[in-house]
Amino acid sequence: MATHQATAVGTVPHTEVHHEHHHESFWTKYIFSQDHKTIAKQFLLTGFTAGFIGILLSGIFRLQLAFPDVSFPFLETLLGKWAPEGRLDPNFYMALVTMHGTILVFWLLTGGLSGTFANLLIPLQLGARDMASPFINMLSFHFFFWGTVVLFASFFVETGPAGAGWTVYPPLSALPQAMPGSGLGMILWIIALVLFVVGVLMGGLNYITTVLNMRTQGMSPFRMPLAVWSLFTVAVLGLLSFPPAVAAFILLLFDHSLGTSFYLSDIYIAGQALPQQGGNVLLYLHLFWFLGHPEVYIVLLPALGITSELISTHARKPIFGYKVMVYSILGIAFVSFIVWAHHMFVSGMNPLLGSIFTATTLLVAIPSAMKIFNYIFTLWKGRVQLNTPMLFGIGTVSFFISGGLTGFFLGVAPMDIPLHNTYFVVGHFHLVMGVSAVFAMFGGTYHWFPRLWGRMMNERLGYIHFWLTFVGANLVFFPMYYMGFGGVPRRYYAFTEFSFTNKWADLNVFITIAALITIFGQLIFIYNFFHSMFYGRPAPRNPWKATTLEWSAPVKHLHGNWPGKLPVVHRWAYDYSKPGSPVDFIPQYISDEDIARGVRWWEEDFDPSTVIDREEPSGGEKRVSAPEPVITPLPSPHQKPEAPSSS
Amino acid sequence: MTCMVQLTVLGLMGTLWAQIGSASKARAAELALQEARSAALSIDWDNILWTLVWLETLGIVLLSFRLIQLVVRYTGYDPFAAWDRDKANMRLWMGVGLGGLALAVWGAIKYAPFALPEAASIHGKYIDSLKDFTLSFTFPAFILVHLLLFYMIWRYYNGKSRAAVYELTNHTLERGVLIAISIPVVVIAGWGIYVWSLPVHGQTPQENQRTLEIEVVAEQFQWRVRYPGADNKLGRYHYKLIGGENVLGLDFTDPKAQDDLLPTAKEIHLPVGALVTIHVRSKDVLHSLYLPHFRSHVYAVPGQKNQVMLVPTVTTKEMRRKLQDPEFDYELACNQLCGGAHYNMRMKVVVESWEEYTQWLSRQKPAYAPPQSLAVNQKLKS
Repeated sequence: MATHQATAVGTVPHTEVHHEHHHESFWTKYIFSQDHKTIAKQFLLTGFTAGFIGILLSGIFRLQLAFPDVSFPFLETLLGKWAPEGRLDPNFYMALVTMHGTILVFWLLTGGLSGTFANLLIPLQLGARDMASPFINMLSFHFFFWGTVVLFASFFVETGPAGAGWTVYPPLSALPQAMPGSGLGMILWIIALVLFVVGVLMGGLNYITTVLNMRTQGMSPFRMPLAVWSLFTVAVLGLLSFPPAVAAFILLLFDHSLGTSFYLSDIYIAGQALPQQGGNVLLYLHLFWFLGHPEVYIVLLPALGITSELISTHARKPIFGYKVMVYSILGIAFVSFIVWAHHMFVSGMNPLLGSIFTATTLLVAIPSAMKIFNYIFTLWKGRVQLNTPMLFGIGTVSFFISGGLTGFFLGVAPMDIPLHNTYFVVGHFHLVMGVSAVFAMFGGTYHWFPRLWGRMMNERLGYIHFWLTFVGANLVFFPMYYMGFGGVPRRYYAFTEFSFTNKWADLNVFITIAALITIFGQLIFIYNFFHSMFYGRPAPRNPWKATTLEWSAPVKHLHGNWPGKLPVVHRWAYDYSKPGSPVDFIPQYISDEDIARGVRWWEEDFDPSTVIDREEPSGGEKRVSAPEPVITPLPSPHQKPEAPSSS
Repeated sequence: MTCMVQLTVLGLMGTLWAQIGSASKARAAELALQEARSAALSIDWDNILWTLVWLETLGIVLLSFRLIQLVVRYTGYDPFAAWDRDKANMRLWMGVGLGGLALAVWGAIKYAPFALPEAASIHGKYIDSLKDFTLSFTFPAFILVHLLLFYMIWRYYNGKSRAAVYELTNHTLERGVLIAISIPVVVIAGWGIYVWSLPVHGQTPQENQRTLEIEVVAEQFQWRVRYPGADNKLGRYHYKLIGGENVLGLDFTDPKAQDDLLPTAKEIHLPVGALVTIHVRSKDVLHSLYLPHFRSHVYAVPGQKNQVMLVPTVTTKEMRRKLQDPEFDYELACNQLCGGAHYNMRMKVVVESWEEYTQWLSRQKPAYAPPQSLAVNQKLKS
């Protein structure tokens, strides 16, 4: 399907066989697609669906926290035996909390966020035809998807889904007699997570390989957009930190089902002394948080990378301190591996470790603060377009400030003592990596929606969505800091039993109302998303007047992204408002010669192919990278062998 | 038309859903009243109504968007047409942003009395002063950095700013940020490590200071506490000895265990001014001993001996007077998810003078009841 356009502009005879027209059935086009753009859409839709269910769950448990004594008959309708008489069952409350955390941390903000934007942006922003291995890329989504199915299936088992918190600390998670959720639900949770991690690892391998090998000519590392830098770093982080977690989960499964004692020791439960001895839970805690802390940055770094793109593009100004930003990403990634035990200050580990991890943890503040100030300085002397993607970008920065600063309390061992596992922690991580990453994801969706679906999203609904969510999320999570200073513990089914928690009843009602309004406010986004997908204003090729390569490919998706040659990169990713340029952006594929030649790249009907496919001027940079890889699509089972004459 | 169809479909789905939801309950009711029930499944109209209300609210929200859109399309009336996108959003940022900062300050003042009262232990005071210092840095930083962000929006939004400046970096600024952030990092980390290593973990008894070792044992879903007897030493235990009367698995072949005391009331009594070592263990799953008023917190890990040390400095009575709250009690909570009733693992902590403490202790019963005497007692009773 691409051949015709290519030959129309082609000054170069096309010999690539992979541009050949091939018939795609429904299955190869939408389900078993190996095209990175389709896979990005699949990740986005799966991630958002899971994420929306995840925040609906939070609505249910927020109701319980605000009105612990009120019966809600519709809960019984919705949940059956888990809400007898309209009162939420405490075990199911824990299951809701667990699933909310699992879904949002792993499914929305790891799979959904990295999966979508790594798949979309890495090949398109680097000028590659596709991922290094489209087949493994497809498998990556399918593992993710089946993990999702298994995870949601656990809602329908008799004993309910896993309920030991998203960290699933044994022995609670390892002993079915400890709580109902630790039965089959826990096994399904582990299976889902293992499937998920396999997907993440396959994706990560692909992202790393693609970034290392498939950058187009001229795309040196320091010309890459920051989004690609962060997605690349995150893929490395995932590759190094997820395997220990899988090991931890597998050992947990052994303890759960096979009677081993990796984590279990000296347990007397349900009137019976268990034979397991010699294990220790702290082993699990170390293994889990060795993933768990890098995981925070696996969530956060892509968000910050996307925010860099949004802020620079819409402030019409190069990102401030590009190299500092790159080194900050690498620095955060490195430090994230040596801070995990700050989740365990009061676990009874050697206090000496507390001192060490206090020091390493506070180091994270330095690159993070550099990033925050660089975002603010990017706005400085810019021309800030306050459109929807930019609003979400600024929102991310604001949440990152509100959430990041409280890390000073939690990262220091003695201050963590009274705050550990309180609502202070809940407020902190929801602001710094939860809402902040969700906002970057929303911003990225508004920004790249024209790239994904070829249509613009509705701007006005975008503003309503942004302001409602921004105000709502702040009203939900900021008061949690106040509760944290009151020592209110998290994962409590009700705050009525303690006098130091009960006095926060009014604030809890307030938070719940804010949360419900915010949750239902997301309907605006859902409506906007699906409506724009089909009826949105058709997008021009470069709606935001951005410089990066993804906007040089045709609006209509092509297998192989560019109809003719791959673009050659002549400049870095942030040439906005460059002095001497006729307009305030110069795309990366425009060379100084093109400018001198009078190419008018800013015009609505400008076709980048006329520049990209142009014969390379003699004496210019010669192609030094490896020859383009040949993309062979998976043959459709319904496809008849084509007659030789058809091509 | 489509609206009607959508609503009807939603309504039908809701009805069906409600039927399925109430089925299990209805079945249970049927079993209970088997002979009385001849009719089919009872329908819970309340549930159906609620489901319909929720689904239709959802439908109405979605449809109202469509309605607004249609009105704009067919009447041509667009109330927001004259809006300047950038200016409107800039004003919103100013209003919402500055209002939000004001709200944060107001909330901090309003909820300050709700926060934990001043620490009732020696090491807690060190933690509190570090916390106050950190707060005095982070809260202004939160306000100032946001103000800087809002200033950039206000000053450089598209309209007020007509062209951006091509500025790649500014080494002086970057260096300034680096130094400005490094100072609090170094100060807070250094101070934190000092508090962690000396006041928290380096507590040794002063001259003439009484010492006390007690054990707190967590299980689903309650706490048990063990006091040493006359020898002031806790005896051995093993989890396999748990059972029957011996709820803590004490090893009574150890003479030190024979005089240990197990108070039956759900209370921990601590003498003021004594260096108390709390040994924490768990019988089943992870729990955590959380004493917010004393700034003490440690996990109860099955198979591992954890401990915290603290010196209570304020008695319960004094604290009640200070807070002017006659109902006030120190509380022990579980702060590590341990199952369904995790929220309900409360134990009262009473801090009192040494005399009151010893009096209370003398009334507690020892853990060890010699089997022979038990048998004799039972025989006598019968």
